[in-house]
Amino acid sequence: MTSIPWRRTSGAVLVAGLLCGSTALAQSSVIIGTVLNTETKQPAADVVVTATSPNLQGEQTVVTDAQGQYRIPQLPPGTYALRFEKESFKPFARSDVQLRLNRTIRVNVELLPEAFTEEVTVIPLAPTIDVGSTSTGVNVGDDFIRRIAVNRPGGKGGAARSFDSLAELAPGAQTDTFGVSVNGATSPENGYLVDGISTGDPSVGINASPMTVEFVQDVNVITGGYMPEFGRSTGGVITAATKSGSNEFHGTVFANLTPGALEGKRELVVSQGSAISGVTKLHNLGDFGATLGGPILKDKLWFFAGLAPSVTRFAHERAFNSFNVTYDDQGKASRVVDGRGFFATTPIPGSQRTYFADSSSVQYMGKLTYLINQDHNVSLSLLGTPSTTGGNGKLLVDPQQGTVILTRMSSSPAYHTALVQDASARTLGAAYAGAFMDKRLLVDANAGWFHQISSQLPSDGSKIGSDEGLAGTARVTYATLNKFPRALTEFESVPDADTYCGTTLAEQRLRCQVTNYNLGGGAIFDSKLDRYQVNTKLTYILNNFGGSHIIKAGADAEFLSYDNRKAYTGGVLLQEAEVATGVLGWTDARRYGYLHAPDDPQVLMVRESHSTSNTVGGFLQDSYTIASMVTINAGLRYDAQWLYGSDGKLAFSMGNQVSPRLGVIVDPMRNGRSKLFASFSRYYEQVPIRMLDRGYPPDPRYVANHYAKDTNHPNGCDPSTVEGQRACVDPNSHNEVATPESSRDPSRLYSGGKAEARPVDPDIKPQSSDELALGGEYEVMTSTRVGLTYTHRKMNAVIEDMSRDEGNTYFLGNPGFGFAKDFPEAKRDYDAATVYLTRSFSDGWLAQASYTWSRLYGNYAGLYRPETNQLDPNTNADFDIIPILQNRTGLLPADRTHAIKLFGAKEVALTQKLVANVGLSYRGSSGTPINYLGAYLRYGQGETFILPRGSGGRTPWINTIDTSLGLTYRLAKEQSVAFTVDLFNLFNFQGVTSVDNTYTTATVYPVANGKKGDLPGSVQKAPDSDPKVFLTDDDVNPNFGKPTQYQPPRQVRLGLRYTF
Amino acid sequence: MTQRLIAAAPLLLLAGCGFEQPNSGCIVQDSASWILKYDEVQKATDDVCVANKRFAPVGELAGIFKYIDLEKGGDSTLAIRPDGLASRGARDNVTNQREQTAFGNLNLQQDAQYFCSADDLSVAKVDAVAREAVPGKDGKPGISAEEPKKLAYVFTHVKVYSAPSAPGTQFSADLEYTDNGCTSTYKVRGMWPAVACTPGSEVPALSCGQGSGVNPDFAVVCDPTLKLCVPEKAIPSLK
Repeated sequence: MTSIPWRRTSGAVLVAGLLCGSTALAQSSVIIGTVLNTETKQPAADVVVTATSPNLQGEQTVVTDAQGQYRIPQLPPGTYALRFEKESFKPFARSDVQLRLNRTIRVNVELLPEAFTEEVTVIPLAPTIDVGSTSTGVNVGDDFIRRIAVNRPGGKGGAARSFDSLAELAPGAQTDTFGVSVNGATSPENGYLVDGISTGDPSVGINASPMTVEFVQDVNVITGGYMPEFGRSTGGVITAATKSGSNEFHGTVFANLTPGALEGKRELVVSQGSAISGVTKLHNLGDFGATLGGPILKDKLWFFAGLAPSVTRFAHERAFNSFNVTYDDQGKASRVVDGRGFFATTPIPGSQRTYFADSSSVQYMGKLTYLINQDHNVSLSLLGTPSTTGGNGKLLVDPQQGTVILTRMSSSPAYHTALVQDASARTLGAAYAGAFMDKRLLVDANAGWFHQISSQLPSDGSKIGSDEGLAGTARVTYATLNKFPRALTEFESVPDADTYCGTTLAEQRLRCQVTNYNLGGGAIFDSKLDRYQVNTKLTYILNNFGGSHIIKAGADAEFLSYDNRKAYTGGVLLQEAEVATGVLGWTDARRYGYLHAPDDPQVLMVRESHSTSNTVGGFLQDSYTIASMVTINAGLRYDAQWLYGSDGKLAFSMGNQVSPRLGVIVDPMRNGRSKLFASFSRYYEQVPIRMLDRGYPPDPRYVANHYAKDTNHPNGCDPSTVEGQRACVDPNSHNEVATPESSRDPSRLYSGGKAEARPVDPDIKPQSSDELALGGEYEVMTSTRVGLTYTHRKMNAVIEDMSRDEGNTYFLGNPGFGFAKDFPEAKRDYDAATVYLTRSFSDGWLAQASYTWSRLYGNYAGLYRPETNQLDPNTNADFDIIPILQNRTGLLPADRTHAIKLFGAKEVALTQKLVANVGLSYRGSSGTPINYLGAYLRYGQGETFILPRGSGGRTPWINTIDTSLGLTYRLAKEQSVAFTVDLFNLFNFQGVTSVDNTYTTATVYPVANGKKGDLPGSVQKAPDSDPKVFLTDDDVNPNFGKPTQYQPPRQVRLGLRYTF
Repeated sequence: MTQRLIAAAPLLLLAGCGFEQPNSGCIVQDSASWILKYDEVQKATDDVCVANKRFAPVGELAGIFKYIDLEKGGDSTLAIRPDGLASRGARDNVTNQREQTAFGNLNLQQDAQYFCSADDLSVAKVDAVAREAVPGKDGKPGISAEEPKKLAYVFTHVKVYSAPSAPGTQFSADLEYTDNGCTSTYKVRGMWPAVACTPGSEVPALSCGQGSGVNPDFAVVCDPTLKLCVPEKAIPSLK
């Protein structure tokens, strides 16, 4: 091939250097190969190679070079047919070439000369090995989704059957609270891309757009080893390409239902007895919709549209109980405690009432793909995933976790059903792909706007900051102190109250005591998050002596903004409190505002904050292939992020994020049927911006204590009416409890009133992790490959907030470095070895099997704390204070030694028109480590690791068996109707998935190098004293080690689909 | 030639990017538990002053607070309320309670040494009537009698130290202390939090060391009279 004089290319390359960025693009798969003359075994030059596919507009044509090599880039995923033609040769066609998203596959072909008479066998080569990269992971397409039970109902995006839950299929991946954990990282660390536009929640990093699989052509779950085109995530990258339309009208109409009635029996967790208890079960869950794609102008302009509404309904049964009491000789009553340390209760008959938690979503999608000519195309797409939950007397389904996180409705039903949550996202994207110079210079550009709404507002429609309706009604919390108990009968009507609760108020307050009982509204917010992103990539193919280079350069920029409006309904949360010894009054548990001067408050009815972050990045990489056998990928990525707090000031910046990526791929037989690879990569975290909203600066709040209204205080606080609430917090009522004049605080009525930003270590470093991966893959037969991989990941610097003075002051820094050098370094070491087999669907069956051995060891779990599900990326309680950092290094909560995943499906033609499919899945995994936890001063429960992490053994092995049964009836050539039944957890295994880790509720110090023999007598209580005090058997939680969660029960999804 | 251009490309990206972290600004730890150590500069010499011990104590607790007026564009006020005045306020029937606190304007422009200064502090004073002796009871020590006290504190050269490693937790000032007409001057060195210590103890948590709650970068000593951790050197008192 003649080399292009550099003069002509220099301009393009300069341009390449100035533009930046790249992410997954929908048209980024490549077919390469070598064409030989089968008689001479010499390369065949000038062979015309034509690729066609129903997913491709028009056809793509290239010509082989002097070495017989061809390359067809920028292809959308799909099934391709290749034609090889040259004069004096017999034409050769190869069909059914499966091209997946972001893959490079090699199709080598031998052509027979026209005059050939000898019999020769042309071995059909089945190319499915991706010879272009060292990435590990899985690719999931329609074939798999239709045949295997995926998208478990319940869980995040369950009803909508979202694409990101498919990530769980990859070896090294497991479901966690907020999504899927990949290679030991937590779900907020993943990158989520749809058609190249990021759909991660800018504030916390989890996926904010649970797009249905019905809109998806291909999902690529990349677990590691990826090139610098993908950056800014320390977990995996989950990327999806949406469907695109074709030259003929095709579409689907579908409906699915998961009836709660077919759910298996749930094992109930035994927990602390209380006067109000609750049980949540799935009631119904379903989705339906339609998609349609087709031509507006054949081979020129295609469209694709889809609509997919879905609804979820959980049923929560609320019931009353009364505490069992015994009487001593003096007739004094006390509660009965059972062997688990729980209060024993008796259900009150006739008290059961069912409430529903509803969530609904209407997902929509529209896309246009326009082919300018064979070398240039553009596409425009709009995707929306709006969803709401709650309202109209309904409970909430948490949008981040996909379940009802309320375990019981311990306050008034009106309170629990007063709010509506909106979790919606909308993506608008435009993409351009162009080829120049006979496809030697490729340009890909992408621009997108991701808009997310996250709000929790009164369901009566009253606006934030308004003084009408629920927005003007404060939340009032009664029964906060055991010293001043309250009875359920004081708030609600209880059947047979005399018998079960007693006749006197004192007895009722013992037998039917409620705690923390809320009436009214609460915290409301309305936030908008935007991501504007643009990325471009240039690819230049250079063949020179020694091999071929594919040089890529890219640049991208991302602008995030987070607009938050927060308020407490009525401007305050009021709470019963002991305002003077033995005196019950009211305190402002939360109130936004500040003090101008001592005792001179200014309330903020609405707290507004606007935080932003700008990130720019760029990369350069070269894929150098020598003799079609060895490919060396060398790349460098650079990112920098500037974060601005809600006062518009720079909070901190994370610069010089240099990520090298190196990979070597060897194709020993030079035929695309096997490979060996090794890679080293560094990944950087893009800091999610919730910490800007919460800490730069924090919310200013002030607090007053108020006397209750009584004969001594006629102007006292009586929050039982809205007028009373307003009078309560009005400074003109003069009902505030004053500190004595001898107090050294110039303010005697009000405290708080100011919030200052958290200082940042001047030497703070960005958070990153390093990965080393090795592996090999071999195609044993058509469409079937086996492989072995080893992955090692470790953290470099981690960003966290810390205190060096027992929680008096905090700063943001890196544990183990800079200010925080007296803190242990954050450590998360992940090692995993996987052996796998994958057979994509062909000849009527598919199979996928993997076994992963892994070890996740360290003292840092990630961007959320699994012990408490605290989702505060980079500012959670993990490294806060030094005394409780002991014993935190060990096997981390997501560590599972063994994981087996088996999937298989077989299609059987029953008659000419009727086809049956049976799919079976088995997932088996080890349990997770158990800890011995205690409480710590000021921080509360679960903060002290009494013995080293993981000392308590492991929860049991979990088996999950799912099956999918389908019947498809072909009506006409391209029309069929299918009926499917997916059974999840077929045998209703109720394995224990988590146990109580709280060894004691007392505040204690960790036992240095502690062993089980040290329990309980060697565990010292905090605070320090002279003489020291140690734990006794009475302090041990009898419920320690008992189950707190079981596997989800058997669920059945029925589906109907019409495809044309 | 193409290779040279490709090598040059990363430099284009790195040009003109600054990555310095911003200053923490003038943070002040709002608390009623600052400990102020008073170092004698010039004591009153009159016989009546010496006879009645009309001097400032060795040190005392004080409240130091910062107030921001968001409506007035973020103007800041610094308030100092020493225990010597606050504890006598109840016996003062003459002045307003507010007068036992010194107020001044806090400048939010930090200097190069991380100090934020406050100027024009009002005079904090108290005019208390005499106190009668209260005998001890149940093993608790009694309270001695006290003459009527007219105290005035004039703080000048007030500075709060606010660096990222010690955000608003050290304080320095000059104090002119007048007690019933006897005026002495002192150098004030203050820190937060005020942590109790046992003089002569080897236990770090009880001798201002690890576990006590004192910033480990601070150079502190356990004052034998106050039994509290106080700054050892001039402000900033760092190791």
